[in-house]
Amino acid sequence: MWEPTSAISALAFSRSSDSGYNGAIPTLRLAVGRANGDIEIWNPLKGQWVQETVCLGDGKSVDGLAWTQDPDEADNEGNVLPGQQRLFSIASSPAVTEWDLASSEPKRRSTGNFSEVWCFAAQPRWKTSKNVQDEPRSQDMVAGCGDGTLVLLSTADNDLQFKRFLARVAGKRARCMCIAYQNRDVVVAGFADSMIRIYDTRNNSQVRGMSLGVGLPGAPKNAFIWTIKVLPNGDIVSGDSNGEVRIWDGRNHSLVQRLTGHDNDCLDLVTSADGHTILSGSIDGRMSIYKQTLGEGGRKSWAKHSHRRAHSGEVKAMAAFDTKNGLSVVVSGGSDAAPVLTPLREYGKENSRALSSLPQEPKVVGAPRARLIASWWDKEVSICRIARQSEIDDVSQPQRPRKLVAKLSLDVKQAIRSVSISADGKLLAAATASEVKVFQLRRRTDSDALAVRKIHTPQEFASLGARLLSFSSDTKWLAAVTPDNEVHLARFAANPEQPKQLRCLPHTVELDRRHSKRAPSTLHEYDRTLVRLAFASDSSVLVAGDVSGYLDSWVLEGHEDLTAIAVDITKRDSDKASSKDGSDAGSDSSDDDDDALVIFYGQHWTDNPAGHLLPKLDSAPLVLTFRPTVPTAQTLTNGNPGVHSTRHNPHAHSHALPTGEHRLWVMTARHEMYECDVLAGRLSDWSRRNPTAALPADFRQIKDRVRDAVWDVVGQRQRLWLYGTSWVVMLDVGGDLMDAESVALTRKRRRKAKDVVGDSREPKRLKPSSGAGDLVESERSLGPQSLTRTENGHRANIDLTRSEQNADEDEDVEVDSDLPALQLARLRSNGSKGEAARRDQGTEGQRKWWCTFKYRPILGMVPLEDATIPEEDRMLEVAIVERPL
Amino acid sequence: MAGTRHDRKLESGKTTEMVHDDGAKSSSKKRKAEFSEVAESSSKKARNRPASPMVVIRNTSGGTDAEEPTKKRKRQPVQTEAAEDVLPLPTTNSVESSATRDEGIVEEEDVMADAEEEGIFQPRTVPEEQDGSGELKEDVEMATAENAVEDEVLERGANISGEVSHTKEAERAIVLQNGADLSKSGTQQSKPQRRQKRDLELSKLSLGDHEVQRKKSEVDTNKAKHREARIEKGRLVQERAQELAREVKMLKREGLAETAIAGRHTKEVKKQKKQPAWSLSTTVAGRFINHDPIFAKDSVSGDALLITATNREILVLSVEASLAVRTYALRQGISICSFSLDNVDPESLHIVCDNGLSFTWRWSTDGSVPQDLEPRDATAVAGGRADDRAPGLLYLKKTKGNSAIWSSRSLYTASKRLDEIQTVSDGECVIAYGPELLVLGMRKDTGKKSNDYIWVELLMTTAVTCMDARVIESASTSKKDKRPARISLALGKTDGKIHLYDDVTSVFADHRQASLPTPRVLHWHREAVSAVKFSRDGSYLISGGKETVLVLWQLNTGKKQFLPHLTSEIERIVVSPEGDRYAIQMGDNSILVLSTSELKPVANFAGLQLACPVPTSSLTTSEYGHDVQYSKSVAAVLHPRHANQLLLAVPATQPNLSTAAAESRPFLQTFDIRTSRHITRQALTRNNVTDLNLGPERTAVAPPDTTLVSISDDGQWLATVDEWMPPAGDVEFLTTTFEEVVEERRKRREVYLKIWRWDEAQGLWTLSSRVDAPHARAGKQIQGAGIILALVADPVTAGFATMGEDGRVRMWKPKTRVRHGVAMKGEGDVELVEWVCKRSVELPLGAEDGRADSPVDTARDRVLFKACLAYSEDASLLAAALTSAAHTTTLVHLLDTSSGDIKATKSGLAGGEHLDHVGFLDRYFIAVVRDAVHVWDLVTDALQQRMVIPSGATLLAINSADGTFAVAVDSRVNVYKPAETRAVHKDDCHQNIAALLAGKGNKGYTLLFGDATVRTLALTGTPVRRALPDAPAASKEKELTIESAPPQGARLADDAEMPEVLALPAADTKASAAIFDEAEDDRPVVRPEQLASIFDVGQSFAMLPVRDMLEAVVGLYGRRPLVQAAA
Repeated sequence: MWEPTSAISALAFSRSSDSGYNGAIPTLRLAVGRANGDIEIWNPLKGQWVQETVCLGDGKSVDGLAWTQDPDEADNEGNVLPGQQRLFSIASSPAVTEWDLASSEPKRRSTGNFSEVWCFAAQPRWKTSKNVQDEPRSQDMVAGCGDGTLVLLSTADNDLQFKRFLARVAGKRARCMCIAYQNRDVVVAGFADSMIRIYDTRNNSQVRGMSLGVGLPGAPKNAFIWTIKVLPNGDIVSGDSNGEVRIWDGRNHSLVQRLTGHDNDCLDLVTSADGHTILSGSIDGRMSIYKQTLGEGGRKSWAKHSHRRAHSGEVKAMAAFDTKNGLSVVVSGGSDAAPVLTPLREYGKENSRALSSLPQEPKVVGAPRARLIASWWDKEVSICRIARQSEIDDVSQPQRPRKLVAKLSLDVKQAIRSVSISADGKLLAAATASEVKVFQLRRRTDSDALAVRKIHTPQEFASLGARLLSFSSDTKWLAAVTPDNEVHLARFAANPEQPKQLRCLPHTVELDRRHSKRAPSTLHEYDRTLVRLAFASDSSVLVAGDVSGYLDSWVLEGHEDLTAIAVDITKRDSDKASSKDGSDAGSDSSDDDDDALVIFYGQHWTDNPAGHLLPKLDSAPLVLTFRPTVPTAQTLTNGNPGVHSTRHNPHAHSHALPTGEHRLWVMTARHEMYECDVLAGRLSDWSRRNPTAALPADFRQIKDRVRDAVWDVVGQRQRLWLYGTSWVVMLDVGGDLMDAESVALTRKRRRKAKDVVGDSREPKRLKPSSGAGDLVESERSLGPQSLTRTENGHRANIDLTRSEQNADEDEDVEVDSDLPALQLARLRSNGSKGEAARRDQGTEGQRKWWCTFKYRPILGMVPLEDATIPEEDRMLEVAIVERPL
Repeated sequence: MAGTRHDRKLESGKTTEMVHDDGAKSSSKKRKAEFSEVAESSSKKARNRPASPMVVIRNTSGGTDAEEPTKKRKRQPVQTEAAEDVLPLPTTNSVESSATRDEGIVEEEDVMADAEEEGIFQPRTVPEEQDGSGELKEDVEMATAENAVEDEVLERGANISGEVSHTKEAERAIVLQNGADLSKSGTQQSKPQRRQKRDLELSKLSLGDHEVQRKKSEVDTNKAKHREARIEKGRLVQERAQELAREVKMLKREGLAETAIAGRHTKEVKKQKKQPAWSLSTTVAGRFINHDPIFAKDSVSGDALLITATNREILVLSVEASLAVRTYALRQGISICSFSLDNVDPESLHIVCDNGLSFTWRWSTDGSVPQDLEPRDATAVAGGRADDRAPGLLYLKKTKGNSAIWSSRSLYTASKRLDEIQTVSDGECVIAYGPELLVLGMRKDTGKKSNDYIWVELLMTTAVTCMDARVIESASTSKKDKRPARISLALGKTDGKIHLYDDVTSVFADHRQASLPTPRVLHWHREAVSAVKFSRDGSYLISGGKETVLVLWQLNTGKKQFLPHLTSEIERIVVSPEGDRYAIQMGDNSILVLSTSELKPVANFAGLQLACPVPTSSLTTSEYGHDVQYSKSVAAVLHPRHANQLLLAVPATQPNLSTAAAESRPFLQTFDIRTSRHITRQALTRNNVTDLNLGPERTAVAPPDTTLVSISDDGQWLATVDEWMPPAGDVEFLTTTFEEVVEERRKRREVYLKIWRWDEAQGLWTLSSRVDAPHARAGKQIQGAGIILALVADPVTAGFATMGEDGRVRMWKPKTRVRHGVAMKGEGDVELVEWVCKRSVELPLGAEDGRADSPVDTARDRVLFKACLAYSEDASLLAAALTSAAHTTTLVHLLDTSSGDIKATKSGLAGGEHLDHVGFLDRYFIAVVRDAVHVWDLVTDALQQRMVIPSGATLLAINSADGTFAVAVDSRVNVYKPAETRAVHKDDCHQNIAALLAGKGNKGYTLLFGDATVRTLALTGTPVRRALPDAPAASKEKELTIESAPPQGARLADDAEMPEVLALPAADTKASAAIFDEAEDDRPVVRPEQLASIFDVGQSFAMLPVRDMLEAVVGLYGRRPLVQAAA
């Protein structure tokens, strides 16, 4: 089964602060490097923290991560195009790797005549100055190697090239442990021989060497300088194996202060944007915070403020993002695999919070009808069969609840990125970044184990590689999203020679994505990365959502005609073809995929005509799922009526669009909820009645993002089960979640809550401004949370927890006037859980929602069906896969 | 007998003829002084304090001059001068001097009466205390007692004369009590007037005068006792009469005396002199209050001083000498809550008491009189600079459930309780805190003359246990602006964290801007931080807690330094103003002064470390109640050779939780109760001083508890018993029920009898023998050691006897260790001995009242919960009694110590199941049961007395030196003589007596109280120990009594009333020697001629049968005491 997430070994924000950008502010992402070489890209989303994509590594621990941004460019019209943000990493090898975020694959490597890279750092961004009219320069990178070599690399021209050696430090212990730029020209490096050396990159000279001096008694003579950082004012901060944090003057390189921060090695440290706070993490899992205060006589001095145990293992890596009024958070990671968010500006006032260590995308898929569960790890896929409840309970022959029925070890070079299994459990597809493999699973007659047969797929499909795979519910279609974010479809059908065997039709088709006009982004193609795929329950509609929130949709035209030729390749319709002909005349032969229309059994995929009407989501979709519909038994026995091949139209095909409603239920990374009718290109009525505000308050307080959803639709019951790492929520989407009145009120309140910070009566900080956890409860807070000030006999209560001093009083008043009705609404909407449930049962006999935190951490939830039970009696049956560490 | 009385009557009749008028006497005062000088060269200055002229008190009954008071007052200084000039030598004991002293006493009482109304006594200085002011208070009490006696005497006189009514005499007693008032009232007052006045005074009598009233009532009840005493002291009267005769003659010559009154007065004086009265000494020792001591400097010598307080007195301690320089005691019943130095005048100390009084005392001068302060009911005080706009002093005042900060008016009322208050920067900033609340006050804009503060109240989420504030003055040059630039605040919390705020001035900002920075968290302490202080330069923070480790936080680097193993929890830390010393008040009732540079101790002030009583919680009773049926008794003994040394088992830290770990007493403290000084402390059992004192489950590790202590007669051997059981949590996994837990714990109980030899060279008790599990468990249980219920020392030779729950008595004796027939010698050529069990006697069981045949498990029934053990004075008999849950009657067994046989078993001795204590005194056997004291005459084998005492926790002490025994019940103590039906003395100490001890060869009793104070109950005739120099107590005692007594011959003649009595050969020679010294000794005196009359009958054949001879001898020795017979 799935192995535990490996330890975090490196962390980097794409930028450290909002300040210092005169143009557009680049997008913010967090790169999390793990010991197995994976790099996860997280989107902070103003404190909602969602894992967007994962770049699978090669097993070598990511030792360092760095982001650069290319210089801004002005286009012809004078608009400033922000430069591209690029992510680099080092692993335990003499190479620096650049990653292609859009494909989640390494883009290029730079190796050279140096030993393994221990640390690297990116040059600070070039800043335009008014005095010097200079061309914007790209950011260099400096890498420190195990043999004491410092290497300069250039990232100019969207490339990564060796520039020159900066220094070669001789000696046995001359391992460069950490490195940082003091400014664009000066590099500060910490070595294993307890020396800090400062180099000027302009003339390759060593400016200064500072020694830590004799180590603590009992400690080795040579202290390791584990980490080195530079404060905004140029002062240097180092953390060493004695557990000390030392502050060195940036100008004269003298020791300013040494602080005993930890009992063990201090492995990493971060500084706040204003340079008045330092946090350090140690090998025993503690994080210490240091603050600069005015000492005696107005001299500024640093002092350790407090420490707390943030991790069960060590704190290996830390990264900070600090802006004045927005996000201000330190992310730390270590061997316990979960990134921990610690508030930086609001330290002590807000809780810290651990993010999930499990992948956002469930690594478990299920075939409900066959009661199979498939999960994968690295190059293996395990398939288990879940016994029926009656079998488990069977007195005479009790079955094991779960039985491994097949284990596939793929002969691939890379790790599996995605696996899909068809609902009937007959087909299983697995994909790496360069291969797609499909297998047919058959139940053996002699044993429980499955017989696995590889199905040959067309070469162009098999070598595509895929980041997402999805079978349609009728097992006829396999959709694959390539690493380059193209969508390909393959059709499966029974082998005419061997009816028991399935085959893949020899042609596959690529679906065109709608090229929406995009706002310029610093991540360029990454924004188009598709993260979710969904087939409609009748397999006639396919929807894909990308990171930036756009939805692409395709429909299956025509009716299945098994009598028709399996694959019929034709030109596109005349009208389309004629319009295209003009432009694509030259490339006709070379690009026949674009022009050719592949018809499978009389059906073909085309763009959803209403696709342009689909809304752009506010953020990446996390749940894309079609509301199951009762199949309208309208299979035509005679295929596509009225469609006959003629001489003029040898590839006659139907243009009949799928009928019926195809309602797509979406939940985004911000936990906004939509339902759209894909073919109509509009929000469904239900969604209009139930906007996001209608979600129960309990759900809205959940911080863990949703991972997937399971439908429970039987008869009149239409329930949607959502789950995250630690929660399972049921929403009764058959009816309205909340009446319109309450929704309006809640909406209003939420808007207010967003605007007004520090309204004491509201549940505070649904959206913490600093990006970490909620406010610390009063019992556990470090200091008092309010004070009473008495002057001239006049008392006033002052809340000390508010973070912003400029709260608008008028807004406060307005909210207050809303209060009575609002409270009523809240009482009716959630109140206490039991109360709400009772009321609902009393009136409608059903709960509208339900929530549990019983299972954790949930790796995935897979629906199961028990065919022995008549459909109308079926309750929802799911297998929840927990993955405790 | 009757004849003697008649003689005395005649004598008094003679004296009545002498005229003595008070007015005349006062006018002849000067002459009297001269007379003393000439005639009584032996001096009147028994004490080195000026003789007081307040003789006037005697003029009340029928005196004439009303202008007396003024005269007297005027003359006083002169008189004092003269007395001091003329009589420089403090010699002892002339009649005249006693008289003078009496006068002085009365005057003293006058002062005391005033002082009492103020709630305070005169200050006294320690260098003089030995014979000066220290005694002063004893004298005051003595005077009170004497007044009471005098009252009675007067009544006697009245009876004799048959002229004066009882009421009048009673009134007189009151008047005498209030001498000053009395002199004012003058002689012109008629009887009704005086009665009115008396009523008035009676109504005025406050609680403080309660003692007087009680004495008075006691006089009524104890008339018989005094009568006897008076008779005993008859011999004194003769001498006294002669002296007085001279005096009266002179007065007569003046022609101013009135015969009848003077006569009665003279007699009165005589009687006063011969009153032996029991009295309680003043309180010694005590527990330091939970308050920061104050470092001060002697203005003259510049010595470092430490000002601290026990709850009854303020102490000025010299750091250099480790001695108290000056003390200032408060009246009984008042305790000090808080004190603070004045900011402007550092020689003034502001003191707040728990009864709401507050006053200022100049600690630097000896005789300074305290000044009252406002308000009257503060709980804590802090000094601030007094100028035109700021309050001089700040108080905390408790109101219902919350506290207010006061100066001259209420400044701020907090919403919750505040405990302590601190001012910084001369009152610019005020900080007060309670467990849940922190109040900060900052004086508003300094330019104005406003006295207003901005107050900020912070509700604490975790309770604050201690706080320190430090101010960094603004660097701005303007001197006028005294506003502190920064106020650093360190708060110790119950969760062991210290919150350090670098600057809290931001909380005083305006509504919108007010903020509080997140504190620095210093977390090392596991449990609540007890004390936290900044160093003077602010670079260190010093903290302490239950861990017995002093932690020094280097604030700039985050490093910590430790001073571990301080043997006791740290309660308070104070940094001296110079920053060179730390004073650490610790949980063992001591204050340690350390130098800050090398952390070496400079001085140590240790009080009596008696474990303070802990309020028992329900948890405690459920956990320990099954094993300890009775509350823990104090394990303490007085050293037989050094009468002022108290040896007691003490805990490492004063328990504030009722747990086994907190309450166990692994240490032995030796304490000098005379000088109130700690001598040594040594460990008796294993302890956790240098160990982790917390188990892995954060439960405190309990050391063994020393339950019994006894010391041999020669002071060379000390026996201790300690016991230990594993905590319930350690055996719970073995069991299912609570009973099983108890049983499993008992199975693992460790009991040791340890016998220690005094090592003179080291000044320590060194372990000589350790007996593991000296007694088995009750019943048939094999595992585990049985508890030892009683331990007594052989009064004659080295030896101890123990009694355990197995119902056995074991006698332990030293045995020379022999190797190859040669006695082994240890260091210093001391023969090595080992202690062995010489005899083991199993006591037979008593009747089990019908349950003998019951099938109930006898093991459980035989659980003993009380045992009594006592040696007779000559160590020939050992009385052992055991009370078990199964028996309703307690049997007392008398064992022959030489053979180990049970000589007799008495069931009626105790008469009830609640036998608390037994003891021998002479031929009497004393048994204290729940509500009575039984005195059993062993010779006649009959119940001699049955004294009813109130029920309560009883204590018994027997003093063979003066033939009395004392029984204490809760706060009351009664002194009895075995032959007398009524108590010789009754007293109420108003606080629970924790232990009652009688020293060997020392008269009187030592009382230990729960608040770690010691008082001595002794006859006033015998000097109180506290007043004695270092010489052995006995010699001085003897000297004094002999001097006051006439020559032996005369005395014998005096004893004509008991002609047929001879001295009883007592077991120890000291006692027989003392018989002549003790005027109040009432043992039958058997004269040789009496014995001769029995034995010297010529030829042996003429002798009586042996039986008759024995009866005759017993008849001599065993007759009832003379006095009683006379009564």
